[in-house]
Amino acid sequence: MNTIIHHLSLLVQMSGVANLTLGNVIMILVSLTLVYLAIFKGFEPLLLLPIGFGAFLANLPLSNVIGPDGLLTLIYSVGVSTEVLPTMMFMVIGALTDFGPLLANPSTFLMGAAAQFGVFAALLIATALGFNLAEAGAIGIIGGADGPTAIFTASKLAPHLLGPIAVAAYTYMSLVPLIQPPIMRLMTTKKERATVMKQLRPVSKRERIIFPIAISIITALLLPQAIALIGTMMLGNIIRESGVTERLSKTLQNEMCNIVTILLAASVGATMEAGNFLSLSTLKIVTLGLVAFSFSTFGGMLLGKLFYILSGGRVNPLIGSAGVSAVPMAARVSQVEGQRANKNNFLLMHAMGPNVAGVLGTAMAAGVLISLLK
Amino acid sequence: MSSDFVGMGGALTVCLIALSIVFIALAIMAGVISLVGRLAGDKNGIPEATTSPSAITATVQSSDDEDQEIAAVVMGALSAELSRVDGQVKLAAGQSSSWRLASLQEAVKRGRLK
Repeated sequence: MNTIIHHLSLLVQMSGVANLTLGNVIMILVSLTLVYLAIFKGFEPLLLLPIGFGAFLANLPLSNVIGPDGLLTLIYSVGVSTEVLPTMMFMVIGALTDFGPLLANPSTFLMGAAAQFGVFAALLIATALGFNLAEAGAIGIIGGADGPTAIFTASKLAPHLLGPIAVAAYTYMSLVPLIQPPIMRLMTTKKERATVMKQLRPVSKRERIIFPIAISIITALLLPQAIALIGTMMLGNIIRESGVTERLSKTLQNEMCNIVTILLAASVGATMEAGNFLSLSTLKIVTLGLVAFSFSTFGGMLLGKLFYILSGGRVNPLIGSAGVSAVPMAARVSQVEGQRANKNNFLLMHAMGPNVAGVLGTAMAAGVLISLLK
Repeated sequence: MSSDFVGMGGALTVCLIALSIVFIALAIMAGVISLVGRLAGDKNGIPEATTSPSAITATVQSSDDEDQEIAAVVMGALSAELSRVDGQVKLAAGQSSSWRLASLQEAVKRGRLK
């Protein structure tokens, strides 16, 4: 009889019920909130759903998807810690991105730089709040509005903050249509927002092929630390633009994109274990993410205004806010705001220039911060 | 290198260095791409393979005059085709004279207006 009771008590001790902690319950609720936002509110579902469910699996009591032999921990160790998956994601982004609008109007490169203002504002505030410089740099990159870059930078500078940084980055990226418009309206007059821009010139195939080669060379010469991100992005882009590797381009844009997204998002989600995630730091990071996004929008708009003045009113300042690299959402926001002021205003293609420049700008900023702070 | 930067002063220095490098790098990229555009852009370029729907929309909406002309030509073509059916050409009333002229020209070109 005693043996039976002993074994029953052992079974109870080994059950999930006996090992369920308050932290687990809170994190399960947080993860299910992410799943809810993804499925029912459409917030970046391709990313928030696997992140949310990865976090959900990691927080189930005695979950063996994490830990030394856990699947998601193994994927994280092999794919994220080694930077393989974030850089592969950049190859995918290169294959998905049409740099034509940027090539047609290269001056918008500068708007992509100005919209990195939030990265540095958040870095300063994070330092003031007590984060060390490496952590502050990783948090600041949220302001670039580029998920893979945020993951790449955090895995290099502050791996212990990866979970909250990734969640903050992707959540705010999905909230771009809510965060940006008030700042855009605050910084512009209706007349400025109504500015109709001249149609972009067509871009030749030769330019499109020279672009990835030129950008890779410039990056290698100026900032070799960023070549892992920008070089792989340019590889994806030349595969897209060459016109002779359609199969590879389609694979990058579809199968590879989906596989990398699932592995990256689920394994990052699994880092949101209660012990790591439930802390004051997470709350600070989430708040700093919002600050970073707002300042990035502000920086982009500021340069947009400058362009408006210098061009004699020919550049709509709204395209400046698209310099944050949430592609194409930030460009769509410029389009919507422009059209709200003037029904005949079509800014989407103009805003795509700063938008893709923002991707390059964020990768550059990440490269600089990693080289200075690692 | 991280040990060179400490506290708020270090953070400020990092920010100034990093922001300057990002601006300089992207400005150089802008310059190089402008140059490439001038050298390889319009002269020998192969035309765009694809055009996005938004680009098409932007083109169509870019000028009211173009809109008017396109609408006039379409109307002219329609009128010409309709005349095959009932033997009459009907041009929309209430439009400007230039609109009607463009419309008529298209109809004449199609040989259905006598």
